[in-house]
Amino acid sequence: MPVACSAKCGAPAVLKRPKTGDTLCKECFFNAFELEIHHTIVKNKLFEKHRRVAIAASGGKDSTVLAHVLKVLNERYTYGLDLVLLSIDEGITGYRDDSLETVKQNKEDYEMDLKILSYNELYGWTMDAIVNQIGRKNNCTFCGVFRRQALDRGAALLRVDCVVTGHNADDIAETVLMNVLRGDIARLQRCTDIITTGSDSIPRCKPLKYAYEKEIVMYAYYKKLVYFSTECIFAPNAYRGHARTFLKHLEKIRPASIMDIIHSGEQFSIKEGVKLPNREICKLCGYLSSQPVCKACSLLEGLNKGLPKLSLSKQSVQNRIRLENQIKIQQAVAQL
Amino acid sequence: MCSNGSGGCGTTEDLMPEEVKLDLKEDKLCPRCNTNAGEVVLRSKDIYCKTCLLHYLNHKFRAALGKSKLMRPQDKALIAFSGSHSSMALLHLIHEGMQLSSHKRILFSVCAVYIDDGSVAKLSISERRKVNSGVQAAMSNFEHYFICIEQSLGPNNATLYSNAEELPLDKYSEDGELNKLFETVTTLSSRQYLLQTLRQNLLNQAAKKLNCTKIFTAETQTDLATKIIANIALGKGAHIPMDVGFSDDRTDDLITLRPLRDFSSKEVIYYNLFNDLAAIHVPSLATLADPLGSLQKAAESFVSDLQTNFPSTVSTVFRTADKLSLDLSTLDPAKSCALCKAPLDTRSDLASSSMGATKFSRLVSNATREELNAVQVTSSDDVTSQETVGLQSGLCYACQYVIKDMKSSQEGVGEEILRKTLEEESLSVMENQIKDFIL
Ligand SMILES: [Zn+2]
Ligand SMILES: [Zn+2]
Ligand SMILES: [Zn+2]
Repeated sequence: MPVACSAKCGAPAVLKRPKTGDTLCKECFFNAFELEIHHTIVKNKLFEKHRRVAIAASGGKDSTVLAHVLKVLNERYTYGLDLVLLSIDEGITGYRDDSLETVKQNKEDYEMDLKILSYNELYGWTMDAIVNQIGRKNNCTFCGVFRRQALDRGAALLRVDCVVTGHNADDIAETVLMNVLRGDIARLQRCTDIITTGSDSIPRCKPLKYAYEKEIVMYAYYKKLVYFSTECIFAPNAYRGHARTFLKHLEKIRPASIMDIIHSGEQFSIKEGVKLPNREICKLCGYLSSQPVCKACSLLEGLNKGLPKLSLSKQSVQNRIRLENQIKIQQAVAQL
Repeated sequence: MCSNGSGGCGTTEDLMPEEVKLDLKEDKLCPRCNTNAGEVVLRSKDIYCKTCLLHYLNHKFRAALGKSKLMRPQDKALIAFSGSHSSMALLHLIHEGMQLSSHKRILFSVCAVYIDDGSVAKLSISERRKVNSGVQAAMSNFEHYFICIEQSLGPNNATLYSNAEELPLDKYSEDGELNKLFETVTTLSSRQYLLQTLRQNLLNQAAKKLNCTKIFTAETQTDLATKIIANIALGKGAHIPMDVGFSDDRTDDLITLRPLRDFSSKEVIYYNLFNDLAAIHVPSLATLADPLGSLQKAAESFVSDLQTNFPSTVSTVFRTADKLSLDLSTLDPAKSCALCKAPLDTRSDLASSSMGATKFSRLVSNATREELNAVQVTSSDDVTSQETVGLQSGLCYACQYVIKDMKSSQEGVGEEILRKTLEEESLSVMENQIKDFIL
């Protein structure tokens, strides 16, 4: 016997919501899912009227659903936002080149402008080349650090007021766990914030913070949205893999545990007197950093030297390489 | 976005140092005394002989108590004894400390209390008698008492039994209130949670009755790292500073201390080995359950697997939690949870909250189209500010699951038992506060 839709619309339910256990029909699910994201946006004052907002688009399910829902809500509730797509091309053959095709399709479907920035033009390196040089051990570190900066640079080029990313509830819960396991106290405090701002950088926000990955997939599936579903060919390191598996186990035992981990994370407060890393400006690129030279610049130095670990080299050599890199970055940015 | 998902991708995670494993050569001398052969390697690098290890651990134990400046000679501490390795070690460490002749001698007095929760684990009366006689032998150096978990539901004046044989096990039969309560709770996660909380409340009760000012638990760093991960998953992150800190003063006039929190489980095992102490095996509610049978069990196997592959896991998790404090901007210290007694973390007036988002999801999943169209979402207040009703409204976020996980077919049975218990408890707290003024 078919289960009835919890919303009493009379239609049979097609899915069970992992967050609440309610059963919904297709239409009622769309309504609920969209209204919840609207609720998150309004409750947290994510946007002011008539702002220009960049959607960090990867072609994956999260950013595809985010772009779609933001377009729908922007029209339905007259946010008055000017939405643009911003994509980063890491230069991963067989992964990013294919997913960028999806982003280009999004641009057509949603009638939004699209800007693609590549690691190659920003840093002179593709991820393929980086992996060739350093192997597959720390590649996620490079990729993550570079992407963060690349998004900032892209946002500046597009002159947007805010960048929205597709981080979903599962991502946030995983990050809470990872930061506890890594002992990263500064990030632990920030990672559940729905809006993150640096003194100098453009605010980032996460409208899908409370949306389950499973529901995002369900939404894309029933809306027949086209997205690119291949995982990055460079698999995550073992440690994060363990945390992710653990989270899947928890979700199986108690589906709401993803929301419960976020609740835990939201309540964390750092003891007075605990030393947090400084926030300063990178000497080389001028971006916010916890050290005199930011992570991206120091990783880049290592790469350009042919050695991923910088600490071995002499100060004079480091300075020369720094200078060379600075010129390269300036040239690259000037050409954009 | 990167398939690694979140903002955590691309940080220093994969640059974690790999610990060097040190093999113990047979002829290697202990560097501390340069006399005896080394027998144990701790932290993958420090070599100890038996004598030096025991000296080091005894010193560490007394230093932790001394540093806290919380123990006075007139204090009486209740030791929560469970038969586990760490509680065997705790009793022994205290006993050793009391035998010292020097100024380092432990001066406060102690008593040991064992809670028999065998009925929850479905043990037979004869099995429980066997366990209890072993426990009695282990506690024999101290003033000691037995108490049954069933008594946590009874009047707030639970009888303590100084002899295991006096425990009226037949009285607490299978069809008692406690089993009815546990039967209505459908998930192992919530059953384990409820049992742990009832045990804690019963210990508090016993401590007051015995005029104890302190409670000692035997939780090690390994236990606490597991508890941290489990509590995060249970939505109890807000209370981590209380739940794993060295001292926990959530109840009036009573402080719970965790003097073994700097001990690893490995140190405890060696301590017991060198002192010929054997743990007492007490089957519990979750002993035979699947490793993924509950959130707590999953956390346990997660932490122990991770610790095997990355030996710094436990200490890192532990140190991270040590940097957290109660968030006074979101907690209400004046209102405490009726079950776990920690400050409530369920304020609904905060802007962004996972709790508000879940409430909103539940609302929109059960509203008709017309009702949905009428929903006005504003940034200030909206539908999600509605307070929870019934017993749940007096419970913290994590404790509410005990009620949420109760069988809907037996509506109210479990909730009623719990409500009665908690009411009596709070009445007795009130009586205690005003007893000097009642004529
Ligand atoms: Zn429906
Ligand atoms: Zn020695
Ligand atoms: Zn509670």
